[in-house]
Amino acid sequence: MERKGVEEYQHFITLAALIIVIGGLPFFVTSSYHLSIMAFIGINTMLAVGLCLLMGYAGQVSLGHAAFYGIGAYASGILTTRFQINPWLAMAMAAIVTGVIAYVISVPMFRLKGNNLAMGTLGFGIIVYLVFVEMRDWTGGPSGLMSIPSLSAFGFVFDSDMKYYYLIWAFTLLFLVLSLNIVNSRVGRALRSIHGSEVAAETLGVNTSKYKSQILVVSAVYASIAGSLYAHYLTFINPQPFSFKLSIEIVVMVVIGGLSSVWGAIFGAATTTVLSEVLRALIPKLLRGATGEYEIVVFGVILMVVMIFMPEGLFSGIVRRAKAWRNGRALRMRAIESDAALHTNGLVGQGPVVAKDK
Amino acid sequence: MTGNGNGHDTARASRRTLLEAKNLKKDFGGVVAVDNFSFSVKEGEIVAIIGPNGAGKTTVFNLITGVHSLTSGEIFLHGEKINGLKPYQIAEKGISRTFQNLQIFGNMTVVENVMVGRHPRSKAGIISAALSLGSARSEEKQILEVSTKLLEDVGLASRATDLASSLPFGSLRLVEIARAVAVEPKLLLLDEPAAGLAGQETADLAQLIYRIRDGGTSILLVEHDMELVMGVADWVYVLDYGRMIAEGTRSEIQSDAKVIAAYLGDEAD
Repeated sequence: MERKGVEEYQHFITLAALIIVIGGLPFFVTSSYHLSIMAFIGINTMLAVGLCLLMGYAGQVSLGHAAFYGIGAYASGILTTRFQINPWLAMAMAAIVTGVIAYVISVPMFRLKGNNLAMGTLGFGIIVYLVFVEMRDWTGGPSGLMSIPSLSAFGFVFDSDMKYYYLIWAFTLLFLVLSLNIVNSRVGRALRSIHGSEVAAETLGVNTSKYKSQILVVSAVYASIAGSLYAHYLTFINPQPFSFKLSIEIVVMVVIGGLSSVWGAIFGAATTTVLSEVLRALIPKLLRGATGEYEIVVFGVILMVVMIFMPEGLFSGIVRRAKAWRNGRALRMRAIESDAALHTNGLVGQGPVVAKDK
Repeated sequence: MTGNGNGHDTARASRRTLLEAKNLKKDFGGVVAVDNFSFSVKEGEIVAIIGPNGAGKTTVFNLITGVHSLTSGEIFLHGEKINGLKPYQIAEKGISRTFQNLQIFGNMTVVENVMVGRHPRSKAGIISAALSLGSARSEEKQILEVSTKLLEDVGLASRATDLASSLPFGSLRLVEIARAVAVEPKLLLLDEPAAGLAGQETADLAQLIYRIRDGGTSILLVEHDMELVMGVADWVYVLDYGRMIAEGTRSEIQSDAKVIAAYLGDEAD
């Protein structure tokens, strides 16, 4: 019980620190380019947190997460430009539509496991992308939708990078808190138990297919709202950002952040977003005529290296190693003392004292 | 069949039936793992199913818990048909189990493993969890209290916050038992609980099984370890190649010629 209290306290401190940093950053960073990158880190964090719940906690791979993001963006775009629906209402409707789509596909999708599930979600992502490209009457095809209205509330119009930065991070922090609550609950345990052993979870009364569907819906709704915010922020959308490439980038974010670390998602999103920007500027200088394709190569290499050397994720890996190093010093000290005690008691050399495994 | 029409049998018949399995059959694509096996567990009873390796014992557990579907036959819990239900529904009805090949949630702490067992006895959904409503929080507190108590019962309270995967094999068997007991089952299925345990640990296990039984849970045990079975079981079924070759009390089974030939004889080598 004390442990739980300490954990909650730590989350509270982390959250407070995060609010101060996020709230204060625009006082130091004033270039709208940098503000927009920071806003995108927020959007990507929403995507990463959702996938973190699905992949890191419930253990269900998705290689099509960009589809939900795209559905949110397009639903908002279509509802506001073609039907003149209030953007906030459109955002809510988009989230509901995305949630329903996620629920409907979850039923056949989660009959698949492991690599087959990865292939299924990959296929779903490609189909949705093609719908954006091909249904020209609705989506505007490859050239996309323009003049999506900005968001406004009670006469306050969100019309600058800084305003969107704050709005986006308000949603991001909300989703982080909701996710932390889910993770540290009966439902969170059920999700992790599915990851640990699906058959054991079922025989302990966990309705595994229900929870898989629910968490897919939650992560899809996060992505949908991120997509709606994206559409209103840029006031223009086309299919290109919602392709397979983004789905992979979200996976990279989650892996860098540590598969089952809600806070790590921010770290993963920030690293990946900044790296993506740097690569976009750097690659054409290094390789003549190189295009965005090379970005994905770099992300692929990062994914492989992290999975091989720090399978718990770069962020979690670093945190754990730092803690282990700190605890390790204390432990080594204790080990030296108890070793000395064993020698004086003449216990050494009589085989294991405690280990009675089998 | 042996063991019919004696004093023990009539004592047994007077007890209320908890689990009744009729003519269970499981055919894995031509390989019949369990063939026409009928058995029952009475309230407050410790029943064992024994038999050589590959006799179909674990398959029987998988059939009861809905992990595998029956080829034919029926299973009733308190007269209510449970075959055809999903495993989680069967758990909700009051049957939980452990696994011969441990199915520990290695990514969770020891106490969290046990807390998962409280799942069917609690109800916070994803929305009340996400909003961290008061009801969800107080329920969470109860789950932790009950689970901590169960860990104390199996002597693992000191390891509560350790990652489950860091515990030795013998302790993990106890974690699985505590986790299954957390469900508050009417019937607890123990799949080879003594496998890999040393002498004293087996004796402790027998005491634990009695305590669980005294708490109002009937026990069905699949076991290879004759020492444990002959110590605790009120009634024994013997399976060989998926068929029942004998049933009876411990002493009846020990003196049954067919059992000695099929099972005990093999043990002598």
